[in-house]
Amino acid sequence: MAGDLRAAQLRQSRSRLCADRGHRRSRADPAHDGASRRAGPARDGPTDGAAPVGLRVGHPRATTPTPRPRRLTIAPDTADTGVRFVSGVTSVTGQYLPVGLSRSSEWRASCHGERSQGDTVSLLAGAEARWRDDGRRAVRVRRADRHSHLRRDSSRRRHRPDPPAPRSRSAVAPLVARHLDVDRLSHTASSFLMESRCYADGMSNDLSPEAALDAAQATRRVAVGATTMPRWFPALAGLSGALGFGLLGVGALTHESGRAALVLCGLLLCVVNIAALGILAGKWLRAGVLPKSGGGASRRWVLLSTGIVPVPIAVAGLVWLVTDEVGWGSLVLGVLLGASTWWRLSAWRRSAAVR
Amino acid sequence: MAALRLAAVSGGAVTGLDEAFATMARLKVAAFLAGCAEAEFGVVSQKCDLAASALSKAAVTLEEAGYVRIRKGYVGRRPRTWLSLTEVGLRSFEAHLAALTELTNQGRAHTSETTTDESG
Repeated sequence: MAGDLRAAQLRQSRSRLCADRGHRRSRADPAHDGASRRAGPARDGPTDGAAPVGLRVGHPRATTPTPRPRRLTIAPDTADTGVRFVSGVTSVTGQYLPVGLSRSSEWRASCHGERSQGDTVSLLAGAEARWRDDGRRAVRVRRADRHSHLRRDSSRRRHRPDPPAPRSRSAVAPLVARHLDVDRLSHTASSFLMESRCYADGMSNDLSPEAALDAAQATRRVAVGATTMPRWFPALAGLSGALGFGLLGVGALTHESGRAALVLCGLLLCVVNIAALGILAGKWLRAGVLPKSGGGASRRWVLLSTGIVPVPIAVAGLVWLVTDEVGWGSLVLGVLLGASTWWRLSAWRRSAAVR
Repeated sequence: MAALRLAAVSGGAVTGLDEAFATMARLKVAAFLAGCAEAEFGVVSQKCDLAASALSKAAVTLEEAGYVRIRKGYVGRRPRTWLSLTEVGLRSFEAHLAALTELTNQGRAHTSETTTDESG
């Protein structure tokens, strides 16, 4: 009797335990309805009752797929140029000549509704784009809304609610009309401008290709000018090299008492030559700018001048073989090497000055 | 970053504009490095009149595009960062300059034509 009672109690407790486990298991089931209710409705996604795309069921904060950014499109083929604003829509039709650059990842326009076929140009809030249509009329489009909530970073695009509509459109409309009334715009073709944050960086946003070109050329000249050599240096390098090897050669040919002095002077001049080149290279290194090979000369000239260097050595070697006197070889080497060094450095200095 | 191709309505197509040189900072860095073999970071910053942060950002962007090479070195005991323009970067920069030149010439030509039309 007691054993039966105990067995019955054990069965009851086991069944209660199994029921609890089953309940917990069903709660962790992904198909459980309660999970989707907790996560909340998805803004975008399939409507067939399945979990929305990107939604982690059961997680309190669900991610939603980010909508594609809305863009302003421009029709390139329409003959007439017209501009319309409809509830914040900017639509420009007509042929265009966009100039400059646009980083599409940085440009967004909260326009919606009206679309035109053709290429896409996006405008930042407050940014302006100018171009000319086929009738040579300057057209400017300005995104007047300065409170765009669309983020710049394309990797973190999220749908944001549209900015609140202005209380009265009269504040926006005149601005739009002033900028977009094609008939009133001057027909004089102004310089091509694309106002963008591309050329901002603390500088004027209004930078034409001409100004960019001037800035680039001026900066390049600064770099070339930072690595010039003194006017007297080519002569010093050429003469010291020529005299140094020349004196060494004369000293080798001389069998008199002054031979040691000649050799010593020759060695000294060779050291001066090497030291001068080393001092110049060190000056460039300390200045932090190393020049290009051959200064601003063309690649062909650089290859030619580099190829000239082995020629004096080869000629000197031939002379030595023929005369069997190292002195003559050294003399010829000094003259040819000194002259080529003088010529190459002078040409280098001239080409750098021209640039 | 893909280069943007802009087509002119009238006349020939304008190609060669590179988005990598879109900002003034990057344009200046590329222009300076095009004029020398290698330049130290501080010198580039000083000569181009750029803040170190702006230069660093521009250099990294150009390096990612494969246009600039960044090398860490020493001058004596002092560490230095050296920037140099790659062959690809030099070619792209030259093409970019050529495109800017063409745009400038087109703008000048249209301006002179329109001025003639208005006066005539």
